Amino acid sequence: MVSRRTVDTAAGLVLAVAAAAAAIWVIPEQAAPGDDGEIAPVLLPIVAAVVIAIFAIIQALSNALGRAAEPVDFDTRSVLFSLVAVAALAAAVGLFAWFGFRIGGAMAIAAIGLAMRPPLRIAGWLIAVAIVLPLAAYTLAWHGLRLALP
Amino acid sequence: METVFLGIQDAFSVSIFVVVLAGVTLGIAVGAIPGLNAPMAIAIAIPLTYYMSPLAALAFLISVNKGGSFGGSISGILLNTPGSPEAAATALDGHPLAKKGYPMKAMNTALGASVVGDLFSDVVLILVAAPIAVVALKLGPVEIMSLIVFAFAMISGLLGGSVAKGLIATALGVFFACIGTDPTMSMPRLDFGHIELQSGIPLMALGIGMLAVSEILIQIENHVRGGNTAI
Repeated sequence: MVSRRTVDTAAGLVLAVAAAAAAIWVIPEQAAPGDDGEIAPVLLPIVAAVVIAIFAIIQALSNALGRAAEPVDFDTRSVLFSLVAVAALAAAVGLFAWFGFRIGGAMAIAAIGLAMRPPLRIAGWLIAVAIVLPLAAYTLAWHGLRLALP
Repeated sequence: METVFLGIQDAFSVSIFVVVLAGVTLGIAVGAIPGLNAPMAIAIAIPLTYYMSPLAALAFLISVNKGGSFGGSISGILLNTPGSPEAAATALDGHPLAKKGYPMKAMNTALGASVVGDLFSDVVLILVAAPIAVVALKLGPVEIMSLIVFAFAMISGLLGGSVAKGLIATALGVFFACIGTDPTMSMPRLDFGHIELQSGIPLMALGIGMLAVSEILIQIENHVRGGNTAI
């Protein structure tokens, strides 16, 4: 069993490391440095990332050093589930990116729907509302009416 | 005020009522679908207005917008997945009430609050738009910056629990808002080479993703653990 305090501390440290990595490596690679005398495009994202890193460390430390005894409500299955969920979401984004909205999107939504294992009596409605209706609206607007959806 | 009364007189005709009814119905149907919101419903409805008079077309598009705003609260109450960003707060109170067995009460309350709030805001807009415009014209960069800092401080403080978490959430919001084209130099920023990201991340997609995906994950975890779900 893992306490909430431990999970919050770990989450704070992971967030701090991710924000620091973004500030040092990712953002300078993905934003222009800017000219002299102008606010560089790279400035605001780096400020945001540094703020995130600083307060994530503060959050992690306050969790680690705090006195309050938190209830134990996390187990290894929860942590494992979180990791699997992150991987599944990354795979869903990949489906969207590689196969487009109509195929990848429908596959991703169907996979999420299957993972939710809805009762059979509402499965048909869920499929209709979550997949068929958006696809029909998209097809009608994009191909039928030639509208660029906002 | 004479103009206002003339507008009211025109608006209360049978043909406008029919158009408004159709617009609200379309708006609610589209707004209730998570991911589709009022602007999308308006985009779909615009070609239909080519065959209407200007007054009927305006009434139709406004009613689609209003219906879409309320329609978002239906999925927010029933599925805890707001159909539109403005229904996010409705889901916080409405979904627990629906889980207690009162979905109609929650939706009726949301409908009443939407109607009263919208009517009140319209009256306020008519009465104070001109004075506010005078003040707004005097706002310079310093005043706008002060407002932004004030807003950030309020968000961070009102999130409750931990101020550090509030500031992290605020900074994350700023970070995601940075994705897209830089407004100063018109250079792409944090788009990772994807042209779709050059216009930034839409607020609706971000809000729906944060709220809907988290609810889906909670329900899946409940299934895995063998607990009950909202479905």
